Amino acid sequence: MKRREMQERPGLRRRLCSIALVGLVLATGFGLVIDTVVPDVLGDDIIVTENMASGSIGFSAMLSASKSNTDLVLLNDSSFSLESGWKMDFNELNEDNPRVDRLHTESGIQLDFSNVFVSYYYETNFNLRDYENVMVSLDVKVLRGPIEISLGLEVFSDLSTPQYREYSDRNSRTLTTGNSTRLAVELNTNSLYAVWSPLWLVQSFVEIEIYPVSSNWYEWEGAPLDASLILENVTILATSTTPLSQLQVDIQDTQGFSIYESGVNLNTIKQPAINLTSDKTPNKWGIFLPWRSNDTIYVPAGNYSGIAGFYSYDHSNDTFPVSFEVLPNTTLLLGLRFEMIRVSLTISQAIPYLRILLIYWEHYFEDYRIEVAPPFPNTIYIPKRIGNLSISIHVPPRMETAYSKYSMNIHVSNPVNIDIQLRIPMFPIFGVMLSTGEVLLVILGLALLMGAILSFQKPNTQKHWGQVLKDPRFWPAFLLGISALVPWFDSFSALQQYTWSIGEPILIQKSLYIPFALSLDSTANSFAALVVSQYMIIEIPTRIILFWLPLRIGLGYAGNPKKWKFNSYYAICLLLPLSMGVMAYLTIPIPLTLSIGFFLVLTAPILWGFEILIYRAHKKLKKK
Amino acid sequence: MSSLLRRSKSLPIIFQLGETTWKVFIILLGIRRPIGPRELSKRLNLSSPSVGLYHLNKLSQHNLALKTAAGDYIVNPEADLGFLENYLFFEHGNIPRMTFYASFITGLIIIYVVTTPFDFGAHNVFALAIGMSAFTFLWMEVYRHYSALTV
Repeated sequence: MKRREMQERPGLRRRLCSIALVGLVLATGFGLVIDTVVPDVLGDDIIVTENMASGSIGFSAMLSASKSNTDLVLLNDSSFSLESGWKMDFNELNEDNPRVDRLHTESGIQLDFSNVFVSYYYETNFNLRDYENVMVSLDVKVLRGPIEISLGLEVFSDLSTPQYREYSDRNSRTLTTGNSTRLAVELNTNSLYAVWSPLWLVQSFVEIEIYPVSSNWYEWEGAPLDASLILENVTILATSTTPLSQLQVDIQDTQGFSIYESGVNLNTIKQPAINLTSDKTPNKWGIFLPWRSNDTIYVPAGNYSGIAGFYSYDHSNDTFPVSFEVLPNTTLLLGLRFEMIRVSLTISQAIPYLRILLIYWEHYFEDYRIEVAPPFPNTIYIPKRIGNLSISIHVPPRMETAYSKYSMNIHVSNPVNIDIQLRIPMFPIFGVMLSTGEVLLVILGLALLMGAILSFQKPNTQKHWGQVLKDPRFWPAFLLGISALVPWFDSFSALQQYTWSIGEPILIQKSLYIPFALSLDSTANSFAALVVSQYMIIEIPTRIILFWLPLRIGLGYAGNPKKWKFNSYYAICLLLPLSMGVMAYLTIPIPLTLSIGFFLVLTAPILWGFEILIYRAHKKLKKK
Repeated sequence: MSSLLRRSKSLPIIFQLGETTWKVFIILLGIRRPIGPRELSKRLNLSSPSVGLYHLNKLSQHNLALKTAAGDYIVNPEADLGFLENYLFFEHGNIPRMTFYASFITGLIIIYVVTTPFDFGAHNVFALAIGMSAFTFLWMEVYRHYSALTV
């Protein structure tokens, strides 16, 4: 600019420089904040270390005093907890929202559930040769019915057996509100042994299945699939003619740590077990498969020998011989040490969808697959194989489809300890997990929005605001605006259970914020996470056209003349968001229940209609 | 506006036009072909073609329009358009040139959001921050320019 022009416009250059400087300072400040507080990527927060595991395979035997008995208590635990060996599952019966609430009481558990059938199961081992009979029983009290409950007992032998053996019995009842009963199933082990001999040790499976109304799906149509009941006094009792002593088996790694202590189920088809033979009956054999730490069977005193190893339906691997003596009035604790890979997990935060997948590859074939999700176990044990262990960490998605964020391969030839430390770079704000980057982007977004609004704001007098607030068209539009901040729909859905190796089915709660095409997903064991709809490309323009523009136009009417006149354009502005809600309800392919946001949108046109009707009625009365 | 000031010591001619002459000039810019006073008066609902001719002559006097051999008028390609250079003119209206820049940035952001998984790491946050700022500033300017000529 020429000097003369500058003299004509004093201070212009200085102002130009100031504006440029302010922009530069703001951008530099924000950029430096991003650079300082936002971590690069998730991979930087994962520390994986591996070191050789000490010790060797083998066994240890430890005796302790306890009375031999003829009346045997195989199970007396009605806690129905994972720690005591009970596993729970539920399956959805229809497309409505599933719900399962559990309340552990002193004597059992109270179950409230709807639109699902619930099953509990417990696995153990039976000594067919020495148990006379086995009785499984359970007390049920129905608080809200009708229900159909069944107690099943399955006895089988499928590990290294030349011929697969299976026997099952089930007792079912239909009960209505207020009914209480005792269900029982009895097994005559002597007669089964007579048929299955030389097999003397077998596996067994107790299953409790509860259906609301009935197990017959013809009866589900139109029926309220909702029930409440109490389960208590679950026992598995056995009797024998001769006093039997306790034999407890604990599966350990080579360092002597119990592998089932952290509640991890290996979820594999090759399981650590022992094929046992008594010296008194050398031609009889049976597999004892421990399901949990210090799993127990009752056996007569005497010398035993066996082959411990990883058993599958047709072969065994990595075997080693075991021999021990069971004495009368003692408990023998047998520790079997196997070569294992111990994976220790240290996870900083539990967030929905975060999961860790461990896959064992043996010559390009997937040998084992273990997938864990919150609540994460501290330790996972995997039987050692020579091959590649692939570890993938699936981070919580911001889109509805998860993706593998981080993966690594470890070649395994010896037992190793692998420590995985994962620091999730997120923190909870009002129960919602957010990363520093997201918080900064929200702040920037709000600042830009405020800037845009303020820069287009026309000066309003106090009188004008008064006019706006007194306009009957303001409050319905205001309700629309408020609805954006609260969920429009809620949804509960169970995650696929078969991929999770541990724990129980995970119930995901989704709160859908339709105007933003977002949902807030949470589970009982994690904080909530914001998830963007996978159809965002379609949904975002739809939301702008059917919600945000009508909201903007609708609010624009407030404070203008003819406020008590019916305005069809304004009516369309109120009805478009409602139609969008109805459309979302019909098209989103998950069961939805209406929530407060939808009711606000529904209320908006009704409120406006009432305002006009009341005004007209009032006017008529005045005229009269 | 500084480029305009550099080119001319006084205000651009377009600032010296009256309201109707201004409207006539906008019509000429949008129609992109020679137009006669009769057609112009129909388009602008003027009382008579002679009123249209008066305004066309006025534009011609200011070197903003040229008279063709057939007696019609067309925009002078040499005319000093001032801030109107920031617009693209069409028969039924005009749009700010900045719309193209805003749309280009918007397209890039959409492709980025759809194809790149978010990890909210530093790269991701920087890209989103730059995208969001550019998106907001450009569309604000588009709105401001558009309303300046239409409202």
